[in-house]
Order: sequence, then C-alpha cells, then structure tokens
Amino acid sequence: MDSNNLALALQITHDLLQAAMQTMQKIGAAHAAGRNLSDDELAEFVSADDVAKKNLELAIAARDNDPAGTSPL
Amino acid sequence: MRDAVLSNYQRIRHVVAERFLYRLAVMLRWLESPFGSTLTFASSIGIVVALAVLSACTSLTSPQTFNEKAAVALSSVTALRNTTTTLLTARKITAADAQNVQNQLNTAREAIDIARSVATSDPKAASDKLSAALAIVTALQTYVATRGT
Repeated sequence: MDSNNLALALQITHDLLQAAMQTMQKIGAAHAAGRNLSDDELAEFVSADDVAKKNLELAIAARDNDPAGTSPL
Repeated sequence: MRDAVLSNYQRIRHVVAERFLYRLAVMLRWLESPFGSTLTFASSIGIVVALAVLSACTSLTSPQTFNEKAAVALSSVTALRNTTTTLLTARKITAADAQNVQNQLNTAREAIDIARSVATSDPKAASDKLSAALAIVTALQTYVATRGT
C-alpha cells in the first residue's frame, strides 16, 4: 500500500467516524436535555445530505467534463 | 417493563455499533485489496484508534425514537455520498460508478423521506421504509468498496 492510498483510506475512515460521532453527539445532547431528537434537529440531517448530494453531483459533472484527468478537481 | 426497555435499548445500541463496525470492516477490505498486501503498521494504529473512538462514541448514546433512527439513516446516506465523492475525486472510481451510487442513494433518501412523512400516521410502514433505506445503504457500502479497488 503506498502513502497515497493509505492517506485516502485514513481520510475516509476519519470522515465516517466524524459523521458517526456528530450524529451520536446530537442525539446524546437531546437526551442530556431530557428530550428526544426534534423535527428541527432531524431537518439538519436532511440539509446536510442535500449538501453532500450536490457536492457529489458537482464532482461527477467535473469528471464527465474531464474524463482524462487533465485538470485537477 | 423497565427490563424490556433496557433490553430494547441494548439491542438498538448493539445494532448501531454493529453497523459502524461493518463500515470499518468494509474499509479494511478496501485497504487490503489494491495490492494484496497486509496492513501497514501506521494504518493498523489508525484503525485501532478509530475503533477506540467508535467504541467510546457508540457507548454514549443510541437512537431510540423514529426521528433518531431516521437521523442515523440520513447520516449513513450522507457519509456514503461523501465517501463516494472522495473516491471519485481521488480517481479511484469512475463517474459512472459514482452516478450509480448517487442514484441508489437518492432512492434510499426517498425511502427515508416517505418514512418521515408517514411516521405519525403509520409507524410500522415508516419503520419498514427506514429498514429498506438502510438495506440499500449497506449494499452500496459493499459496492463502493468493490469498485474502489
């Protein structure tokens, strides 16, 4: 495994863990306040997914316009 | 009653922990596959640290209500979109692969949105929709790991 693949794998692992921790922290904060996750708080997850969806759309479009990889994304 | 609630709480916590560990297992397989090599010392340390953080994280809390389960499902979809974006940007997968993942995740998201809309009127249907969405995400995790090699 070269350093690039290792760095990429660790970045993905970091991103997954960070996402999991943020989710659990939000749920835990609600529980600590003596309540469950509200609709407004759930809406934040919806918004975050909308952003991720748009980012992936843009990345796909960028690759479609540069299939040979001549310009950095 | 209290025992039943505690038992259910522990079961949900176990499922959540299992799902996150599965993601890590998928990552491990992806780590090992490109060159057929064993994990390096550095990556092993990273994974051990990640597991420790994960263990601490999942012991903090677990989803109990529909909103909380929906939040976990949504964050799973979001995390997979971000992983796909990372792999595409790093040129580990093609645009066609990424588009395929995006389409499937859109389907999962639609299932979650439907579940949210019927959560009050039909909790059973909402739970089934969430399960369907999570099944899609689980299958996609394997797909992305396979295509990322």
